[in-house]
Amino acid sequence: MHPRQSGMSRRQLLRRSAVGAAGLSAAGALAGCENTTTPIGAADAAGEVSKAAAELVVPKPLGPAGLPLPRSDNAVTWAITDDNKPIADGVKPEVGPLRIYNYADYVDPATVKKFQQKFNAKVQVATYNSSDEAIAKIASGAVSFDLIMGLSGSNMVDLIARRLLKPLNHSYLPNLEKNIWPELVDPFYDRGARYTVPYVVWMDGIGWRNDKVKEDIATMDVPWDIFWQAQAYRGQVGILDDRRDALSMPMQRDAMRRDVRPDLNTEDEAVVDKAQRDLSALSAICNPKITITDYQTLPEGKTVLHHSWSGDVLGGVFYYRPKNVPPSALSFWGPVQNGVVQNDFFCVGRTATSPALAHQFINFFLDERNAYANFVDFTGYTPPQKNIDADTLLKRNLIPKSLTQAIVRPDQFAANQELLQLSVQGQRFWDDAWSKFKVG
Amino acid sequence: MGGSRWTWRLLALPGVAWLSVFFLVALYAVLAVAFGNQDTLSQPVPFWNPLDWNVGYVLEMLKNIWHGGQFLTVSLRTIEFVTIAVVLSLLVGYPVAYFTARHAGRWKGLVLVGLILPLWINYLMRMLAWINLLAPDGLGTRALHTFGIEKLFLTLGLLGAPGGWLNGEPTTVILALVYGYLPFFILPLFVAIDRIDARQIEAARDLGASPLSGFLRVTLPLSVPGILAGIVLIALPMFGDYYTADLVSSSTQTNMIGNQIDEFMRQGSQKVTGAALTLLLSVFLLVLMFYYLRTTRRAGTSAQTA
Amino acid sequence: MTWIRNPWGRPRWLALITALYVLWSVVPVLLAIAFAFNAGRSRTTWQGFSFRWFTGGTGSVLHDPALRDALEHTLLLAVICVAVATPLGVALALGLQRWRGRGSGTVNSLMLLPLVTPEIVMGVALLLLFLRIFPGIGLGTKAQVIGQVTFTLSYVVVIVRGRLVSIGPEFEQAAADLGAPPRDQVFRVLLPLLLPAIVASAAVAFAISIDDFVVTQYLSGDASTTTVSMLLYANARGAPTPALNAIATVGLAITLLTLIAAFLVYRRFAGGQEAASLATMEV
Repeated sequence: MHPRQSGMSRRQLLRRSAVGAAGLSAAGALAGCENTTTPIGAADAAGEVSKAAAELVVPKPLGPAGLPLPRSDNAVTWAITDDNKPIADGVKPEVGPLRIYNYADYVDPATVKKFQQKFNAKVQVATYNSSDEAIAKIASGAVSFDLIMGLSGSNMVDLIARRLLKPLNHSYLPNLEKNIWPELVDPFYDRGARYTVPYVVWMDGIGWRNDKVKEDIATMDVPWDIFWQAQAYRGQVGILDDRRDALSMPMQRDAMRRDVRPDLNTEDEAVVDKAQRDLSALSAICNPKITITDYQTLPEGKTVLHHSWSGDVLGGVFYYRPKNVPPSALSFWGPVQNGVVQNDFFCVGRTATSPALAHQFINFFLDERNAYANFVDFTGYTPPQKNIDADTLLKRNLIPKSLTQAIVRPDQFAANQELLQLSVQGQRFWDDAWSKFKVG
Repeated sequence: MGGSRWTWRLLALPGVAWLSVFFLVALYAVLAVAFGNQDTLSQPVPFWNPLDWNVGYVLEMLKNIWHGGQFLTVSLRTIEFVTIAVVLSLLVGYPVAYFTARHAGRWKGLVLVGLILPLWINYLMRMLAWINLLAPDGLGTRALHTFGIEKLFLTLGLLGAPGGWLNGEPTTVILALVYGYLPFFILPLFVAIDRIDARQIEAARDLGASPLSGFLRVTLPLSVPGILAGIVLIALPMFGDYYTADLVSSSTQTNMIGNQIDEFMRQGSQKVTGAALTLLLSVFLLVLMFYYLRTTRRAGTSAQTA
Repeated sequence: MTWIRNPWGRPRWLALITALYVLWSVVPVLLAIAFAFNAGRSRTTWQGFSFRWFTGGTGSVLHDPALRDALEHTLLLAVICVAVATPLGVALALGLQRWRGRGSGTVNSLMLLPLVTPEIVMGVALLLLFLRIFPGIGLGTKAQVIGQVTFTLSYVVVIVRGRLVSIGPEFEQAAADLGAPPRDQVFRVLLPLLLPAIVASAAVAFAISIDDFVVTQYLSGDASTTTVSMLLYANARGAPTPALNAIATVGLAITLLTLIAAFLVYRRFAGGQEAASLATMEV
């Protein structure tokens, strides 16, 4: 069409066509751009799958590098490769220094000192703030450690996939079979305990100040309901600042009401979304704080009701409690079954320069008395020792009756479940739900 | 003097190189990550070549905003908080700056010390002071109760429960923002008002203007550049603030966009989305910057002709 | 309203607002400092005067390793930051001021940009820089220093340039006329004249480094790279002892003493008017 015919001036036509051309080229450029939210490496093939298997079996979600995700009904044995064998028997402990990578404030300095004196070796503890950060740092090769503590079954696949661990030689670890719960001597996420040894166990539950909260939470039908009925404690309620733990809480509540076992490692978007909506409903009810400082705020009375890790409530009593607050003012409740019970572990770094010394450290902390000291003098997190249980501590007047539930028992391990690694896509559902919740 | 030109440029070179590498390249890294991807350990993988850029995460964020998702909620809330805080700062800050510049007389030095001092006190310490005061049994809570201010806030619906200042109240966050950033607003405003030539006001008075009229038609317009400078100086950092909301309330109801970015970058597993949000924030602030530049230029010319 | 009747009188209500503002601004901090000297553990109830949180037994700034290390690390970062940023900034200021021709506007904008960039943007950018572009440096002390230098640089440049402007070009021109080479003009004429500004800018860089939070936190590695600001942030919401107030007071004292010293030096050598403008941080 001739420009004059359409009534446009020549200048307008030129301008329009220029804009059109720019738009077309931009669209073309965008079309050429990648447009994905699938992480790199997520689509790794699971290897050759037989036709029959592909057709007749519903595939389980897979982790990075296509490795299987361990579950309590899907135990995994990690192979020991030729290029990464455990150390030989009878090697004398090295001079050190022993380089440990751990969460901050997660091992008793006094017990570590005893180790240093016994083995005449220095110990250096570097700390990390999150397991993702820890694994990324080690994987990058920028740092190298002899011993890594604080990681759990949910990180197992990442550690193996990136070949970051050295297999253990159990001849150095007699205390493992001697002292540790049988359930954890041979865990499902690491059959044969080839790469890991348990450190401490904990459970997710409810911590509260029984002198300020009127309700008897432990006798409620569904104790989790207390959060949705906590209008009277508005502003003094806390939820754990951890996406998996926090979102699993409404899931547990739902399942408890219907008397079924929830799948807390679900990858069902609908389930995760409902959990987020339930959690978000709390804002209007009691405006919870999202923190992990319950070990301080509960004893101090700044919060009176908190979604808690059992170790934090005990740590609060052992270490942070102000003098005018008796230990019996704190209570803890944890579900007998279908809740979250988790453990973390020791593991030896593949590039360890003092592996024998690292083994000795592990064995040292598996010793009953050292584990006990680490527990009651500092961390508050229960070591899975056969001879440490609630009754012993009650008898020694270390814990009040209101906190007996904060000590994890071996049978609870079987009846509950761990929060384990999800597939990449599944993790995104949880991440999105958490981000939605955090905005309110 | 032939070589001297290059002497100066050579002197500037290390500084320029430093800023280019540790500032410009760093900013480009945000772009490269926002348009990049991540690996299965949630570590960001930047795409350096613009032709390779992956728009997936940025598009997903924009879609979230377009469809009214959490990113829209948090953005609107941030804008709301910052706007209210800036308006309050103006209401409190202008009289103080004006008084110090024009009427302080022999107290000027002392008042100036009082105005400058907060600038050099650690921001976090100032917030810590308020957390102590606003604790349920704190001196501030008791004082606010005694003077009836708590009752006022309760009736106005600005406070949820007696003594509950730190229980996730947006009111507390906004007032904390005002407290934190006011000194940065007052000082440039004071300087701007101080610079106004007293003779212009005298001239207006001589021509018969009342003091109020003189203020409204001479002093106020002349202080507009200072007001704008102050607003930009506090609005820009306020938009990216996350620690204030985190300190005086850890509630989800007061999350600002800075909190979301912080959550993604330091604590979460979606650093690419965090970079995308940072990009969004920066673009928004750039728009503010350009607007400010244009208005100050215009205000500058009109003030000169006045 | 008195001030309408008396056009030149002092408006009382303005004075009142100002007084209230200054009190509101400063009193909370004074109270926080006061409680650092509390004999008991409370930060809200006065239980007597004591130095225990500063030099007393366990839990005091002197004896608690976490607090002491944080203080040491803060000072370490501040010293290195000043050592790097001051020469870099002075050179940049000199170069910028005397730069003629193309590029000076761009470089000037580049220098001013960090001043108006929100800290979280800088923190994120630097974090990604050290995670992905310079993984060899990684996060930790080196990264923290580099991050702090990057924005304190601008403050140094602005302060030194202010002084340069008021000195004017006569001195170096005189030296040039007398046959001095450019090197001598800078080192034997300009620098001595600039000394008060250099000292002042070093003090400002020091103070800013001590109080910095976002960038320092983003670039910190493990617990050994914690600073006082990070400690305050991590503990303020929990249930800290007055030791937290104490360490904040120590940090504040160091900052204020440095700034007062610098202010006095600047005033003695450069004149009161300029010192006042320095104090108000005129850009």
